[in-house]
Amino acid sequence: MALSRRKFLKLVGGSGAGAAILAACRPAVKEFLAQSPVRMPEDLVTGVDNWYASVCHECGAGCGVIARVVEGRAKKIEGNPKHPLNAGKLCVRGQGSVQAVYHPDRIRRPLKAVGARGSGEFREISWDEALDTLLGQLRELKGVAAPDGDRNKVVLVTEPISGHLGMVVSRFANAFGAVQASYEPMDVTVLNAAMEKVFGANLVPDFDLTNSRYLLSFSADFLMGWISQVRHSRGYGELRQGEGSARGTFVHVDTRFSATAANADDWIIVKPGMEGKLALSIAYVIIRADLADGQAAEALFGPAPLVSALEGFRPELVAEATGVSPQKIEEIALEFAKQRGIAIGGGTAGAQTNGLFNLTAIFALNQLVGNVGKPGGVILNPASPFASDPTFKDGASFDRYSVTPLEGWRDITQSMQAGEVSVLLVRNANPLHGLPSALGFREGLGLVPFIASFSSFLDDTTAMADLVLPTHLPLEDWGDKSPNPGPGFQAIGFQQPVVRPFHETRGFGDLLLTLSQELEMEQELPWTSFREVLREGAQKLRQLNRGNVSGISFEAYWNNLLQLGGWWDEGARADGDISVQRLDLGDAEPTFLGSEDEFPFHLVPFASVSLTDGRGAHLPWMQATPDPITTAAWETWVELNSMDAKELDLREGDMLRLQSETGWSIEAALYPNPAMPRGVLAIPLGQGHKAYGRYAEGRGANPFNVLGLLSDKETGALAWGATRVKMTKTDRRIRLPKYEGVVIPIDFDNNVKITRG
Amino acid sequence: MPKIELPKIPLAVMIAGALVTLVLVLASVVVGVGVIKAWWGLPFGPLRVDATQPIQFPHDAHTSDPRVVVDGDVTDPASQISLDDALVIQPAAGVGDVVGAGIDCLFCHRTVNTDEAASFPAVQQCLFCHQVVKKDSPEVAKLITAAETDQPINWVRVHRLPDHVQFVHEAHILFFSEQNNIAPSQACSICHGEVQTMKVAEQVRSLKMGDCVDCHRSGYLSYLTDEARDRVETEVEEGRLKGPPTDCAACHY
Repeated sequence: MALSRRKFLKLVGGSGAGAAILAACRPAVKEFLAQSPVRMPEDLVTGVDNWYASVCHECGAGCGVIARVVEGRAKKIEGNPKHPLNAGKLCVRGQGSVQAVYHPDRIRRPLKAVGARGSGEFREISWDEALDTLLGQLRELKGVAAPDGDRNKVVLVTEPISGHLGMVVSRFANAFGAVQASYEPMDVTVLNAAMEKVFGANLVPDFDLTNSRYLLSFSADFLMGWISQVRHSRGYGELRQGEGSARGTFVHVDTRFSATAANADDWIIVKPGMEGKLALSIAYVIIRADLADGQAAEALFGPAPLVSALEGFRPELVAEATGVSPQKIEEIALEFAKQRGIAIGGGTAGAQTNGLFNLTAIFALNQLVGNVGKPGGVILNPASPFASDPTFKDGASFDRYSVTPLEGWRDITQSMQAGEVSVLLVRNANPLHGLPSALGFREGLGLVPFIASFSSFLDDTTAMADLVLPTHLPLEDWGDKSPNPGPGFQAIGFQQPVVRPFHETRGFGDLLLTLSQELEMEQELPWTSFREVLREGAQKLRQLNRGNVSGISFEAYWNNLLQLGGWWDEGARADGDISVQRLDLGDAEPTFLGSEDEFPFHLVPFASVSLTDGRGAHLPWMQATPDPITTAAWETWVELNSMDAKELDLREGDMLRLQSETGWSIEAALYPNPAMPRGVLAIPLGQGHKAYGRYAEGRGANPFNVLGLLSDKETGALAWGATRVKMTKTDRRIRLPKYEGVVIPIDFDNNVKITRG
Repeated sequence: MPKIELPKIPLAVMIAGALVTLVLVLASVVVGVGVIKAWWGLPFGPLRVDATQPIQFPHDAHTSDPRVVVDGDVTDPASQISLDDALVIQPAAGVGDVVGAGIDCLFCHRTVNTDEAASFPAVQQCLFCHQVVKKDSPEVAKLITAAETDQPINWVRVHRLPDHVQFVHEAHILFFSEQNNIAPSQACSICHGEVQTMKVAEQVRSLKMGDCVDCHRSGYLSYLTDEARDRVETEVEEGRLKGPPTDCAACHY
């Protein structure tokens, strides 16, 4: 058959149409498909979510949090909207704390060192074996140690702990005879001492930024981490753009360009250690202009003529030392006094050899303008409801917690080096990372016969331990915490476990109670579990019959207490009358380690926004959080003025070696910053861990290493801002990981023509 | 008028022809009824979808409340005990199997109250329990093999709607669970029957357009509690609540 073209097309068209019609008669195969995929779809939200209230433990502030728990897993952390301190807000570190629970390098069960000390070789053992080993070490030493017996025989190092856990720790240490030391790298001893001096209170007061119209901050990086970041950021937001009031003014005095400085209306560059002189000069101007609260001024600086006491701080006299012009000082002083502003100080201002002088002078400005106890001023915090409770008779409590200053650590280190320390117990503190290398703490650790750590992660100090007994993370454990600084009234946050323990860990409180039973110290520690301790505390709160929690029975009360995330009573405020004490100013002159000729740069370390002093470095979320000014992450960089860099022929990413007079040095990448004051090197803390999990280990440099052993003259706290360094260029150069400048900007001025009409 | 000569047909042939016609008529009636029944309702039993699944999944054992079998008889439902208790007392009392795991429908059909489809659970999810429970069963072995070889399980679909129609589970589940104030999983049986008593899940309603429209017009009221019915009726009357839609585009979109 001959196939004509016409016939061929007909056939093709016909069979095509037929195929299409026939196929359409049958439903699509997918309609019959009912498939169980092998894996769970990732975006499928399974189960019902529960939100549990708890307390954040990422810094000392003690914000209330709520954790979203889905099918037994904590997924998300947010601020507790009911908590008076943070009112539903939370910072980046709090948000990131959930990641620690699922960290691949968490210690899963007790470890025993098998290699040489510090080799990082451990063997997993059972809890029974671990407790036997620890008790074997402790039994012989019970009672022979300090304070009655040998000095520093057993040292128990913790992070600063308050509340009921602090009480248990203190009682354990006292009953056993151990020396208790609490470690915080960026020593707040000076701040606490200044509060005592100026306000007569051992609690940091609340700064009512919300109702204030003028804020004068001295080196306190309060938007990025200074003592209670969330509280201050909230207040700052209200100060600047709160409804129903004019935008408040914010002046920041600092030695480096921080994110807080970037937010200020006026950033005043001050020379390191001169903040106190500047503050007193401001006080002088205020008194001279007769804008001060007369009574307070007289109480602070002695009888009239007042200005004579401060004659040495006339603006013209301090202008050269501080680097601030007399006109500027007068301008700030008058505006501050007229607006009756709030003055706060911290950071490097307190981390000098004259740190206490600086902070005392700064906070005294509040007394001088009479804002203490008034709305928009400094609100003193009342003592806790447990202040007169005999349970907290000595040691840590809600109203006291101590931080061991550098001088205390020098003492402990010397004891270790002399072989006096037999047992060192460490929990959640990493002094090996945070103490200056020049102190010789590492060498000291090598001479301690037995080190046990209660940490959940193998940090620098824990890596040196002989025995590791991992404890719960805050999300898995019971606890409580009074906010520091408090919200201006009595408040105690309660922490409940929001998930079951992920690994074979135990609560630190429970562990101490178990140990004390084995060591026959039930007299001092009569409880069987830490939860019981907390419930006893809750009973006492219930008996007060006031506050936010109610319940017809104790069980109902306890449930409500945990559900709300804590107990607070807005009516329980500090007494109205504020006594103003005579200021004992002390030495105004800072000293620095290293001569200006040989070590030309001031080293200004600062707490990283996400890693703080290093405790957040194990979390990839925190590592990846960019610094707000440089946008850098995952590295340690050094900020240097761009002009200085140009003069020295340095480019971004050049690895610089910073060396101090101690002989120790670190290497970090350069970040030229046009906003840095000249002659100052700013460097973020937090990196340079020798251990601490895969994300932190061997990354960046640790500026604590090069710090000199200078301390505040009065409190003995580490003056971490008082070291001068010299800088040498190495032949290495890296690409600094950062967001800024990654995409080449369009040169609008030259390449883009704007046409009109 | 011409005479037409009809051919003579033998009687036997005529009877045979009549019988054949009768059979054909009957057959077409039967087929017609079958077609009409399948069209308007459910087809006759043997013509339905063969619901034999690649892995036998007894819905009753998974979903009914836990009970203990004593001497071959399931104990009275009044003596229901929790699964935890059942698992604990089972070996001690020396009694038979525990029947029923008491699993909520939504544990497996997770998106039924949030999504259009009820969805089938992943193999991973089956193994939440079956990595421990009844590991020796040959049916569970198939499950484990599927997980190990990374093969999805293709179930036989039992419920299938006619073409060109959309059905959203979420709206239906939420309406009945909210109005009757019951758990979402208690609303499933309105359309799917008492699945918790079925060894093999079967279709119990026609799920054809007539079925849907009947329910959307007024039938839905019969599935509400007395209290809910009165309230819904009043609210629909007063226009405060929109009753089930009956316009074409409600399902055909």
